[in-house]
Amino acid sequence: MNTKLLDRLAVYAIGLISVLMIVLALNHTASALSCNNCVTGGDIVTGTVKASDLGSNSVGSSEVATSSIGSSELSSNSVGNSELVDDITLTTLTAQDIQVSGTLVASSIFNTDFLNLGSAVVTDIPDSGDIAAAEFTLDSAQAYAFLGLNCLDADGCNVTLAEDFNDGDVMHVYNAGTNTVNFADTSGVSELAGPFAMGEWDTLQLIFRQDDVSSGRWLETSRSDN
Amino acid sequence: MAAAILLFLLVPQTSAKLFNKDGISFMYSSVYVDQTVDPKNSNQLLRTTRKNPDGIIIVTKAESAKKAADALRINQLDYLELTANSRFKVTYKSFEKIETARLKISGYDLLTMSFSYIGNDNTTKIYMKYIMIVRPNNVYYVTVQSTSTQRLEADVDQILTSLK
Repeated sequence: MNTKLLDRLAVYAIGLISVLMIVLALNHTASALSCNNCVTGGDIVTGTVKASDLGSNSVGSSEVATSSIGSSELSSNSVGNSELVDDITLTTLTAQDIQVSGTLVASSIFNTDFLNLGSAVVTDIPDSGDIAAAEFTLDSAQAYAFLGLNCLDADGCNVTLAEDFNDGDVMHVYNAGTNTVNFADTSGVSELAGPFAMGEWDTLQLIFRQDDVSSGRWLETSRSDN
Repeated sequence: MAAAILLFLLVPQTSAKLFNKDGISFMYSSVYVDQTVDPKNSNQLLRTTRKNPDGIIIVTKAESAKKAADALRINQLDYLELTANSRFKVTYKSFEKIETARLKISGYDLLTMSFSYIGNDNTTKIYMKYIMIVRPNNVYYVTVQSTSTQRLEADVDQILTSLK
């Protein structure tokens, strides 16, 4: 056998082996990887897996661990509306975080809280849980022009009137419960004709007089021991 | 005839639609798109919104103010005004009262309160008309809100002139 023929056979053998190796490599598809965690993040070189390599629904939400995708990994417009299937909880947002294409729902800027202005509101004063009377501060957030107070403490309830009201505000208070509701005659805060231990259905009428921007005093206009 | 048809085609028509439910009815602009009423408030009868400028109309039925007003020996509108004065300023951010008016339409007493406040985005000034309609057993609250005071007045006029 001459040397030329041997060289040629060697080249054919190497070529055949190379083709076999390529065929084997091509057969080794993702479906062949059935072990859990057999490919980790460290095995994938940056840029080797592109969005186009991922088939539709090939990555489920259960496969994305919490905090595994940071905002720096999402390019502009990379998440479309159709990919958002539920409410999103957003925290620590700045104006730059939200860009709205289209228009916000019109009603979102409006305060649509319902106020039942005709109702006679009754506010419960919780039991203090000890042998002393419960302490309760009545501020403008809880006040109605006609307000029933229901003291749930058998030792009675001491009501302090806040000063966050406006000049001329009128409040009619009545005791809607069986326990005593006490109003003190406090100089500069609640200027009453005297202390009033209100029994059930007793009423007290007050008007607010503003002293300055941040303070004022309630003035008793009438009371009734019913 | 041709000129009349041409005029009809050229002049924008402001069509209106009818709200008629639970004993109260009025017309409002068909620009409004009716929305699902608040599921948490079974007494809400209408919730409808518009755009350009943004606006919303809500109609709610509530218990009469008679019980509370009688206890104070004042009429219902006086009571509603008293309560509104104390509640609006704590409910609406940067509340600024514009005017209060008493009306009588179709034999029923009405109280309207106009005011402005700062919207939920903490920026937009909202103009609001709170219409309280006293009926024998109920009070109906028709609230109209808009980002435009001119639009608000036009929409409120349409409601009040057709209210029954």
